[in-house]
Amino acid sequence: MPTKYQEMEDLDLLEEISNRNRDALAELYDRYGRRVFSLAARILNDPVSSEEVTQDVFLSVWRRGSSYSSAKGKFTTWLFSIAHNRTIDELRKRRRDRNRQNDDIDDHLNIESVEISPLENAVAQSEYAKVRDALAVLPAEQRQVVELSYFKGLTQAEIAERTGQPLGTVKTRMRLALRKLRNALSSEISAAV
Amino acid sequence: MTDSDSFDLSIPDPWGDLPAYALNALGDEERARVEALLDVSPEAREELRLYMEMAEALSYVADSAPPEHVRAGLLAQADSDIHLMDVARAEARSVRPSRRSAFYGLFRSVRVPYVGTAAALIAVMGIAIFFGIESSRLGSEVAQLRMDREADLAQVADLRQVVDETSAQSDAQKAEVARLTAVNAGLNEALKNQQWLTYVTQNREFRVPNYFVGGPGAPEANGTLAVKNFDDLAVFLVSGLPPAPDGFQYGLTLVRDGVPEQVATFQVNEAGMARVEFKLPDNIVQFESAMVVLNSVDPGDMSVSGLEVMQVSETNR
Repeated sequence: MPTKYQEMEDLDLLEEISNRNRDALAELYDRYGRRVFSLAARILNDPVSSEEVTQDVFLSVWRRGSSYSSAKGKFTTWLFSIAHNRTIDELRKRRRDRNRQNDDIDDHLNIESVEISPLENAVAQSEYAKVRDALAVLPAEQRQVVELSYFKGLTQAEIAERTGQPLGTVKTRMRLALRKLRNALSSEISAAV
Repeated sequence: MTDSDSFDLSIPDPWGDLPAYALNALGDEERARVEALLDVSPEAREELRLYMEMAEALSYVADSAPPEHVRAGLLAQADSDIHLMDVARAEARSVRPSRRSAFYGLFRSVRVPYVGTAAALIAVMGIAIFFGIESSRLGSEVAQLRMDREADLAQVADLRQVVDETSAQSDAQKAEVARLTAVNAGLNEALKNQQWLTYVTQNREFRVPNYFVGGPGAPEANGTLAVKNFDDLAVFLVSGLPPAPDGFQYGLTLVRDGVPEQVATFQVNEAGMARVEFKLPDNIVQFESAMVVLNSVDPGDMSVSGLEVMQVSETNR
């Protein structure tokens, strides 16, 4: 039998969290902790750092959830924006520390190597598959800029320098890639909104 | 549009940078330009919303479960925050000023010492009279006089007790006077700050991007953040905050893209007020939110740092 928190909408949970309700925080973590950890692990390729990032993201929500406003968009968009920002900050910090920016970057999105474990939720499984399929059909050069920016933490200027392409070309590829992804995932997005 | 349509951009193009903004792929200057555009353009915000949803969808590209101790650690931190909040509330209660008026203290300070002095004087006079009478009486009156003397000695003892109590009350009054002096100094400071605030709100050199209200741990707190136009000087004025517990300090934190950055730390005075002037960091020209957090003074102690005690008022979100 589901608990009352399991039946709450995300924003109701967030309100409970702003009143220091740890059970609401636990439920929010149960909903999105796996996705946040997966994203961090995919980008950082380091389980320990990914665990720290995951904990930091939800602590941010716990301590500063009141900074969310629906005017900023969907709650999950905001949550994963925090998760991505925090993860990329960690990646760039490590890159600066190691001073080997070009040594650990693989230009190609290695979709085939992504380990997809059995999910408890069939709907979620379907979402993972849709996103992977949508990425797989992008032209290679567009997939590359997505990979280098979103998953490798390079700025568009760094991508231009690394690929030898004009900055305008990189911008165009980013825009086209996101629009094609949107078209491919439009039914899922509309269902989720 | 294809790649062949693209061209190298040598001038700022915040509209064209929206996809990279969503992918977190901009440098600081480009980000600032995009955020300036977002401040004034609902169309840009709508376009960015679409890109941000795609960026969120990219998080589905991998799936792996975090270890159980991540969840346990998170909830332990939450419990620690709740405990800290309880401590802060207890501290706030212990420093809450008395509701007695200043007139009460003034009355007590005048009345009680005179009562003590008069009583002591009466006692001395009584003793002197007693001994004068005793030396001039004879015979059967001696026993009566002795009884009277014992009664008078008892009265002296009572009067001495009154004098002792008066002395103790005098110490309490001194403490009360010290407290009232501190409150008076605080009120003077508040008056100056209020005058400053009036100056800021009427002066075009300043803008006031944020008003703050207290959270559950500091419900009476309020604050104002003012930023000087064409400069990076910022001033934060706060009142109604309880003193931070020992080992803690308050931090003013600005949030950009959900990522907080502490820009100033401060303590409040006995009246719960502080005025903090600081330089706005170059990379936080634009920020989406702000808050006051309770931090450990020890930068290595992360277990209880960053507990939010004030946030931006709903009225200016």
